[in-house]
Amino acid sequence: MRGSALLLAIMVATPSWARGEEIATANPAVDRSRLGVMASYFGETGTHPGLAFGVDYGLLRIGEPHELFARGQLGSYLHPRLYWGAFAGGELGWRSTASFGLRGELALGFAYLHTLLASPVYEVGSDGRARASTDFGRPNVMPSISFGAGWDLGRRTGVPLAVMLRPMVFWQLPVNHAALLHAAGLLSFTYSL
Amino acid sequence: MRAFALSLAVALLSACGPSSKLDDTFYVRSRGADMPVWVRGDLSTSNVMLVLISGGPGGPGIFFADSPGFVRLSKKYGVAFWDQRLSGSSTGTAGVETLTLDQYAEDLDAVVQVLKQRHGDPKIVLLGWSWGGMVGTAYLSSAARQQGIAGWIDLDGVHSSPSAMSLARAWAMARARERVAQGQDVEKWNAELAWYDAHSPLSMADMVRHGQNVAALGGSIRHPEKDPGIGSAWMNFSGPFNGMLTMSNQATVLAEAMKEGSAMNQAMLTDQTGALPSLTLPSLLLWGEYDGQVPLAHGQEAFQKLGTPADRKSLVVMPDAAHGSLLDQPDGFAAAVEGFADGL
Repeated sequence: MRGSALLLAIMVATPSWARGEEIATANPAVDRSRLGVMASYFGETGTHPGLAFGVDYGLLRIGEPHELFARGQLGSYLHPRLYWGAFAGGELGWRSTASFGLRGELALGFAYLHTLLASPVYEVGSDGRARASTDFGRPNVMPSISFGAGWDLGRRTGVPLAVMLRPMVFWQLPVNHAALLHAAGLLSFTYSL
Repeated sequence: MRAFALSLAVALLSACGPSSKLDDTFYVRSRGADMPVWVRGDLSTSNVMLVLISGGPGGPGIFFADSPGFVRLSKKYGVAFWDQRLSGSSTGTAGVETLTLDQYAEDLDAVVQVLKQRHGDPKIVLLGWSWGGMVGTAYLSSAARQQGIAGWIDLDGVHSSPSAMSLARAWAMARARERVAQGQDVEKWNAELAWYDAHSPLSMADMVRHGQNVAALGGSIRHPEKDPGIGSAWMNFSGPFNGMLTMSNQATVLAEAMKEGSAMNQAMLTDQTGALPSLTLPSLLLWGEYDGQVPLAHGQEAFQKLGTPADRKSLVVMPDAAHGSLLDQPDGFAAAVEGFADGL
């Protein structure tokens, strides 16, 4: 996972001319900025609500349909009464887009996740009385794998917007000295600048 | 229009989960563990708060909040569902070395103190189920702590694991012999009888295979169709419950229980029979007739040895129920608890 993060950092930091990449120009609808902004509904188990915002950057296009991309993301979600999580990290992925707009993608991610208890916390003192206690949260790391299927509206309509449904599994670790598996569903809107 | 929209929203929300007057979630922090407690129900007429000390060890408490027996009890009493350390949805930094009976009792004391302060000093009734019997007995063996508790409900609970395991082994072997005599799965049950002959007494490491046998012989649950399994969709997706964490925690604690010499292993093997005479509070012992995990004879021993005067303790045997009438006979379970709690 450290290797993925390092690769992501190198690719983001390396200018395109240094990578010698070719940007497709055959279709004007495709020949737009490689930079996009993204907003997502982030639902842990689908129903524990959250939001994520990020930037999406096309690192390398191979022909018209295929692209290696990187994303930076900030997000948060709430498991009501149990905990609130906030994360910041990146993803590296591959996507393919058919000429009529259908798009699929696969991405690997790594983030820092901080969780805070979402209900009052009490401790009992030496006098036997319960007192409210402060929760400063727990630091976790959050590796992830997501798949995506959706539509690049730009292919047909010229509107530089892609809508993707992205099932994701991620791990939260450590939780009670183990890695805890989560499932999440994202509905993402990416606007190409 | 606004009123209609509001009514619709309330109706939809009500349809999503069981309604309840009390609906309070908080965490109790104790020696590295952050343990969630969910309080549901109604204290307004009874002022009785039932506190579930769930089984396992490592089993969840909150998980049972929407089981039919507790839903019925929640209409009349407050019910506190507590996820013990490294169990259910508990988190924190607590290590497995903290899984001692003394620590469980200290955690329960913290839960009781917070409940009393947060809910106007209700009458606390502890309900220990299976492994919860060990925690409840450890807690109540302190006279000072016992003074703060109005009643004790022992639901197929353990007070001595060596004794319970010995009885459970004998129960399983007797049922296996019945199967052989009836010509049912003769080869399988003969093999299991041979295994039991080679494992006397049972060790904690034997508990997985033994548990599978007891379940196959109907000693865990008589009516599997009533088993909540992984819980309702509402509980999984909207309640203060984390199914994946619950499974992960339970696996951790059970693995510790089977590890010879571990804190959990030592806790499991503790014999608290000698502490029973010091329990003098009103008590209800509720046992499944067909319990193969903690057989009825264990409950009868507890009933005889409890220090509670005869007119303030009772042993109720639930027909057509195995280990936990809560699941097999939710109405019978709730009626027995009501009969006890209303008399406090």
